[in-house]
Amino acid sequence: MRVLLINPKFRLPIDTRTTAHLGLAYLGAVSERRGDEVVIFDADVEDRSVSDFVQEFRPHIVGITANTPQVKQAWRTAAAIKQVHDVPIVLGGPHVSVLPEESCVKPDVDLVVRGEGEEIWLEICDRVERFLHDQSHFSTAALMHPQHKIFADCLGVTYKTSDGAINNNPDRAALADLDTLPWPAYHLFKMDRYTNLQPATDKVDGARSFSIMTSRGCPYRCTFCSQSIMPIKWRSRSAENVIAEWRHLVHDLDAQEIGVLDDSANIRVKRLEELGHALIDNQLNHVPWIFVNGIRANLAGQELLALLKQAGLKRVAFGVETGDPAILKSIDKKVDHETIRQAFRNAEAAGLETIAFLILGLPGETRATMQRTIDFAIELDPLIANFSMMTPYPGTKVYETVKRQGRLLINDWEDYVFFEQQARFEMGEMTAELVEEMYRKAYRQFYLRPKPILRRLQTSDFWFNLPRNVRIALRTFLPKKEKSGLRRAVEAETAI
Amino acid sequence: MNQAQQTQPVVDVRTIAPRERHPLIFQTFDSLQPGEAFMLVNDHEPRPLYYQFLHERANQFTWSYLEEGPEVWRAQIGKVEAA
Repeated sequence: MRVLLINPKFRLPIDTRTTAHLGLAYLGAVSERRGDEVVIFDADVEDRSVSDFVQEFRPHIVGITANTPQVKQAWRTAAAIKQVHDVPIVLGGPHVSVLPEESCVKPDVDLVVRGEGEEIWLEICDRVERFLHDQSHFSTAALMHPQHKIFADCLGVTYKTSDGAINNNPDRAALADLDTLPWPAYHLFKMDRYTNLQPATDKVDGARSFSIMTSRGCPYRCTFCSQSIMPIKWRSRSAENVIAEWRHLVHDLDAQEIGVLDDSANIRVKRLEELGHALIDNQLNHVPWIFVNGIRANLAGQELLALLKQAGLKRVAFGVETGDPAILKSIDKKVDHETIRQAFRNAEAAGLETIAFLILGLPGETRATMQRTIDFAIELDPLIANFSMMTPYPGTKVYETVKRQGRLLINDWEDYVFFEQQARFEMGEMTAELVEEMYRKAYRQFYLRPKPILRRLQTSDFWFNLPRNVRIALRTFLPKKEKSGLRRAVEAETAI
Repeated sequence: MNQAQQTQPVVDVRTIAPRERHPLIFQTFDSLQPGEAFMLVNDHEPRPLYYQFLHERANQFTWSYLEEGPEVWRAQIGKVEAA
């Protein structure tokens, strides 16, 4: 079959990374292994319209991925495709996994995949292909006709029959053995059109920057985390399986940097130790690699970090979240500040660069608690302090709390852009203006200190990226006195 | 683990389909006599279940962790003695 996989356009308001979509890379790989002719259309880097491309390629099935801010663009993309070509359209990704019916009722969406996609996608493709064999003329309406019951027992999908009825099939168990997955199909991407993993910090050719997934899921259930929306059992690949792919990235694709994209990479410390030793033994440790997402501070011992440094690890990230002890307890992070301090000390002792992810505007926050977060970031002094304003994603506990006790300022899924510098809700005394003020203060207070300034000026990457760095600095540091943009919009709408 | 804990029923949900877990846990809880408890074994932090208990069995249960990850969680869930 001809398979088209799409990442809808997702322009962020600031210069940030644009990398190949690992989820689509996996779907492309399993489809190719099935024998399909696969094209990945990443609208963020394509020059032509998706309609033009579809008319030329005439796919037998289309899969569109969508996170929350992308979902409306996914619906628009589905509509544009259906106008020019009759083809079954499948949506997948975190947002539609939580709210499958919202997307499935859209006239141009036929099926929604809930949870991990690879096995469900293959099963959908198998069923579509079997149906195609028996048809002289394909029509999606016939495929989705209720009498045919094509997807009636396909686990993990929500689908719409041609009479408009929505069917929610039971969930499908997550893939048990990650070693059975093929390697992500990077050859299906226009790799020269992407940035590297952390372009604000490193100057690496985007075409030589790759991601790898060594485990999936997270056993913790932090109240704010969008990962907990789609609770997935933590599973890992074997060290041998990871090393084989790592060797492919280094030797065949000439990787200059590798980003480990695991949700929670160090759940099983012994596994990471094995991986570290294997990277050294296989002489793959000359290519720097980083943990793109935070690892658990309570499982980041000095011995492990020293070994990983020797194995090529350049930078490690921790989800610090907040500097206030009561807020830290309330978000079910299951870690305390002393443990976080020790993890940063361990990283420093191992010679690793550090990233701290911090959140401002969690439920219950005040000016004082947010100031504690800024102060704690300064105390930890990571290379990168990544402050963000709390974004309550549907399905998280924070979202439910805000809906009950606060005031959501978000009218539209497209307002959920993670990097947009606007508060998304207000609660009690915590106004949008206060959170936005503290957000800017956090960046000013952390970065406009002699040490971070000197640290930046001393790196060649800073000077290579100068125009971009100036743009980001102006946008982040300049005070913004007017009323929160989102609140203004909400109030204007209410007035009408 | 003390003797009382050793004789408690154990509900190990790690091999049970996700959609069947919470109904089984609540069914087990409802069958307890006041003062009795069972041991929940899970492969992830059962905090969302705790919140469900808070909502659906408020003031009727006790909850204590005997093991808190990172790969296995053991929580003792008891039914409070009648006042």
